[in-house]
Amino acid sequence: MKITGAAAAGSMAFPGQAGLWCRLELTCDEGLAGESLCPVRVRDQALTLANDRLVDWDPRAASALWDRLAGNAGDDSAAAARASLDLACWDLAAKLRGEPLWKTLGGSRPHAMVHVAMPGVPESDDAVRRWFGNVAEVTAFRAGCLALSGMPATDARRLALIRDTLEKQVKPVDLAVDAGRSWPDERIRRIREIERSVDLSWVKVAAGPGDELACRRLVDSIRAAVCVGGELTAERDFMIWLHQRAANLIELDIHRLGFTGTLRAADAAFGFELPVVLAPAPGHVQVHLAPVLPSFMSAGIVDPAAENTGVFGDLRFVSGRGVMGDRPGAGLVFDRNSPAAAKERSA
Amino acid sequence: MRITGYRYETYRMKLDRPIADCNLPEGLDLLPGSVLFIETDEGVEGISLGFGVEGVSALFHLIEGEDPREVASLWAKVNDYIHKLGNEGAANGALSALDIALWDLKAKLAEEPLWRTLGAAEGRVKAYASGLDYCLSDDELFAFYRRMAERGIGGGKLKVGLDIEADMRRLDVMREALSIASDRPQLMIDSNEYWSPKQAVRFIRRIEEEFDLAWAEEPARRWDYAGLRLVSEQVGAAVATGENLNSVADFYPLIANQAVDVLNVAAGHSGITGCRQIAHLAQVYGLPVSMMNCQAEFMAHLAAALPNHVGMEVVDPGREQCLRFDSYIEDGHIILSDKPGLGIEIDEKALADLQANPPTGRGQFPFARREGAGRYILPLRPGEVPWETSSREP
Repeated sequence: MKITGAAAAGSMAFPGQAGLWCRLELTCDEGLAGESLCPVRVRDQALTLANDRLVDWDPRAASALWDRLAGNAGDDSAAAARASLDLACWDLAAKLRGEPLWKTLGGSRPHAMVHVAMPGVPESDDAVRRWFGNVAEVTAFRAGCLALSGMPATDARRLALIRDTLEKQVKPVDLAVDAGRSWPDERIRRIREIERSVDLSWVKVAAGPGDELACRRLVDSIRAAVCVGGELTAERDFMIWLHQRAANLIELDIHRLGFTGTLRAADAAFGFELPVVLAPAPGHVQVHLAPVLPSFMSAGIVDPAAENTGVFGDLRFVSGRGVMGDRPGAGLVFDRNSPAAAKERSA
Repeated sequence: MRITGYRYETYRMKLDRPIADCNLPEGLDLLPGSVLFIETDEGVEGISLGFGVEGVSALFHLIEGEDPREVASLWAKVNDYIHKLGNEGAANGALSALDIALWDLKAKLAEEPLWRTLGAAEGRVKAYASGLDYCLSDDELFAFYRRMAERGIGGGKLKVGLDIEADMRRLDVMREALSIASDRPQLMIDSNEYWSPKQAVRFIRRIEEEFDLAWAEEPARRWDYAGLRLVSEQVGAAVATGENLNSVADFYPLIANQAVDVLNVAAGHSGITGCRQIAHLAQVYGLPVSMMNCQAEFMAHLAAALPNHVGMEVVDPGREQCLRFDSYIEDGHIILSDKPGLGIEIDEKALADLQANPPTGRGQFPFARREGAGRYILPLRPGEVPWETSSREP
């Protein structure tokens, strides 16, 4: 059983995800294909990597292949390409066994806690009310995340709106904010101001190497948990954050870490008694991991109504939780009639 | 696919040769054994070997009726269940045994070797020799390590602790025996928590005047992160420890306090799932792991899938009288078969014979800590070991 080749096609956009994405495919000599989504900007890099390091290897050796794909630390493009290939390997490994990925990984059917995150900074309070109102019609989500505008009074008001909207369905709800990349002292001041009127559960920070001490100061300065990790691209990147106690909550992004790196980093977080959240991913395929991450807390969702792009995962929402189906592999289905698929055909 | 039942068998086994460390220098040649079988509605059974299976009866209801392929979730369910009393003792033994048997089942159901289920590229794991050899004469010591070297193993771990001058002579014996496999054999020592941290520093530094040690194992108590760190900072060898801990939670203070350089991981670390968690934490910290010995080297399946694994301990004292397996050692590596699961079958007739006619031998496992541990060295008494000592009882 061997990987025989790789191909990529199409160009799609997803809410909350930067840039365009394509469908990456790993073929094998058993006639099956492993699929994943890959940022278009790293498509050629991924294909080169696949041909250089994956062809002729057994896709079921997914963990070992992740190490085989290792590149230069800190190279974000290489990490994205590597992650896309790892996702496709795992998809193929599960399809070869004829089972959904969550089962291949050793999990029971995911009934995962999820949090809804409105993509981007909202233009207005009305936009917030509308987006979360639509979301709340899908199911009773227990947590919502808002990207901060930089104006604490506005943000506090919007968070109250989110709370009131979601609590029409279920109580209590957790409120989170995405503080992005901002000046550390200013960030502390703004969040403390918000905390005067809103009970924040966690604050997500965009942080990379060199930001550890600033984040540690944030940990020591606010009531909410500080969530870091979504920008990190290798297991070892997490060491300094754990060691410095510079985060209370670890975010893992499968499009940077693959399934393999996410599994490993999550085990390390568990060793430090830190919960993990999974960053949103197109098709919600990250939810496959939920039952096998020992300190899993929640998975980010940006498009619960799946009103996007021609790619559908195998997730439905029941009582505020994400429930995975039984499609083999990661369960991605590409809608052949969508505009994205039309582009793919023409390509 | 559902779990329908379990059974376990216990027995005693007589080893091919005695084993010992400095806590029980005269050694023992009798060990307890156990096999846990987990049964399914498809007739496939999963097994695990060598744990406190008696605790399984209190936990089995948690997995009964569940799909064994969902082993990681079942591990979490059992681990959560035992949280109040703690993941220790019988509870840890049962969690470990259940988890290993479920992984065996999962791989068997997929009709593939467990190393493949765990994501490894090949069933091949680097090995080092470990004689558990405190009770072996110098000639027997040489014979053991030479036999290992003839299979390509170029690393060895010597039991030390009560007589440093003799330990150094025996290190030389071990090095000489291994020299046919390596120009520069990898030398390790294990004092099994007998020393205090400062004793460890004194003795290891003395040994390092003449030997280049790869690691010193359990140079202080397993939980003493400050003491272990002190040793690590003051000797050249890496500090290895952890095989007697229970879970990733136990490793946390060691890792967070930079008290360990090589993590000894084992089946008793809450099973394959728990052991893998520890290895992944070590990987994030850039630390290597080494798999502890076990019957038929079954944990090599996991070792093969760990990116930071540096070598598995091979003792080979003859613990497989009722097992059928075809893993072997070649060119310094454990070679696992392609048979489904762990690749081990229980020879039920041999097992029944062992139960019907329990062998007799010497010693009792587990053995106690030797007098003086962590305080003073209690010298070897005449006749306590079959080799020439430099110490003399007053």
